[in-house]
Amino acid sequence: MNRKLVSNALTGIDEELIADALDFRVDEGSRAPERKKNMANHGSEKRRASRRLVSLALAACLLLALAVTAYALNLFGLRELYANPNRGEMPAEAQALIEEQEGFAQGEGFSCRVLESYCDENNVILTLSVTAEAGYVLADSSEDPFTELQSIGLAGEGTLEEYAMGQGRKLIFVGAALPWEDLGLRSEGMHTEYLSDGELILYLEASKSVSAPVIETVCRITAQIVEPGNLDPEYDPAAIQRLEIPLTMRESEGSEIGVYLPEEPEAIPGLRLGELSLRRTPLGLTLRLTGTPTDRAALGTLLTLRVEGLEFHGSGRMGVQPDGSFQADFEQGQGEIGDSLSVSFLDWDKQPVGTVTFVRKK
Amino acid sequence: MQDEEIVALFLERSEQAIEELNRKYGGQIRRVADHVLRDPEDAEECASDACLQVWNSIPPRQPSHLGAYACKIARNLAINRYRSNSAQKRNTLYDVALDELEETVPALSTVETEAEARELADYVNRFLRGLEREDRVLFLRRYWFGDSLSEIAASTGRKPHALSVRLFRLRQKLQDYLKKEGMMA
Repeated sequence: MNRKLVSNALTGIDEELIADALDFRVDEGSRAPERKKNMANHGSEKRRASRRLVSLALAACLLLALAVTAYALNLFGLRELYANPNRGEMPAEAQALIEEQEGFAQGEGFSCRVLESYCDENNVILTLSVTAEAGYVLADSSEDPFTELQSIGLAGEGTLEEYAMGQGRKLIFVGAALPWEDLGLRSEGMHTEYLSDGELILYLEASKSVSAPVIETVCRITAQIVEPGNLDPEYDPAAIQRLEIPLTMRESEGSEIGVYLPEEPEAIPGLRLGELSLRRTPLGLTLRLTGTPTDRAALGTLLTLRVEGLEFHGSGRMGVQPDGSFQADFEQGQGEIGDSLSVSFLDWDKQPVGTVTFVRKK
Repeated sequence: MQDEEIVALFLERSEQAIEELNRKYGGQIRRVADHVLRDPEDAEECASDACLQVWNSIPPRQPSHLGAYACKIARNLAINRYRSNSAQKRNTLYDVALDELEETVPALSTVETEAEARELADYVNRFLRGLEREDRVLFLRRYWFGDSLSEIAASTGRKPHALSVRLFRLRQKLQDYLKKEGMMA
């Protein structure tokens, strides 16, 4: 039985209690250095640490060699990083639109270069290379000093802090983001490939709503230097380096495939269905469904939708807009399109609430 | 930056809010999702979607515990994604945690499970409030955040086996509590 019940019950645990546990985890940050100092006074720990140092030095050499090979094979190009088992390879039409970039920024302890970009009316994708100067161990900004080396694909044992401390190096955390308001971003994700402990590739994929033939924008880089063994648990925004790399991208225009109307606009509780439009971009199909909420509570039970014969692997969202209308957007769809579409609406347990047939408008 | 300041940025619709949320809680948000999914890419997407949901929900919401609020959204998204992938193997930390807890709680009827889950959550909340902080945090880290024993051991300095014994006792305590409250025969 009880698996789902237990899972649902855990979901209902008070935020106050979760926040307390979360604070406790953060508190550990301030206690950890003291604990590690105590450990360092212990003889066997010292010996273990030096053995690890040797193995880490060997691992670093290996990583460096792998990085050179990876570059030669272009394993970390935008096209390669886009691909995943769910959505497969980047479509050839989109690959042809990848632009090389030259933007560069130099910060304290690191430099960052935009490598490639892809831009269409819905999506922006970027790859950036970040290189740390000697004396720094580099990680992306979503990590923290307590991240285990192995969890980010680096060889060796222990945390980033322990590793940096063992080598007498500082930690530097670097992240990148596109300007949300300027581009009307609806979502943005960052993926990192570690080439070594001093070099990484950032892959940014964002869904945007602002469209123009040429997009003039910036890529925002943030970096924070952390001294191992002297961690300041307080978050200090003033200590963060903020750089901007200018970016110019040519946007690929999409094309309209068709507009579809629901046969039964009132079939889904809480919603009067409007038009469903399909467009094509080089990355695949884009779906937009509009409607009018009729019962907010009933509408709140809907999570997502499925279109028979189509699979969407990009950003997807559905809900009430600031103007009170309903809108669903799904991107990077693949599949066959006919003159009618069967659309199922699913609740939060992914169970169908109803299915509606949409017919192409003449 | 304090949570209130970040929430204020969300209310102002400042894009810096996302950056600050990500900077302060991004690691925790992603870790919660990763413990459910055990797939860094999926976890990254969940974390990104969670940030978007936070952006879309503030305003009107003004959570008093921003980190917990964002982690909760990420966890729900991750569980939904996990459930939707029927081919996923049952080997995530989320599964391990559920396996442990599943035997502790009562076998309730299969009807009205949502109501039962809410009722059970109420009891679990009350049970947790009655625990010492260290036990409460241990319970939540294991069963809500999905932390592995070795992760908890590494950050608390306790041995995994000792933690395992302590968790076993906590589960027994929960079972006793649920019996006492009439949730179990």
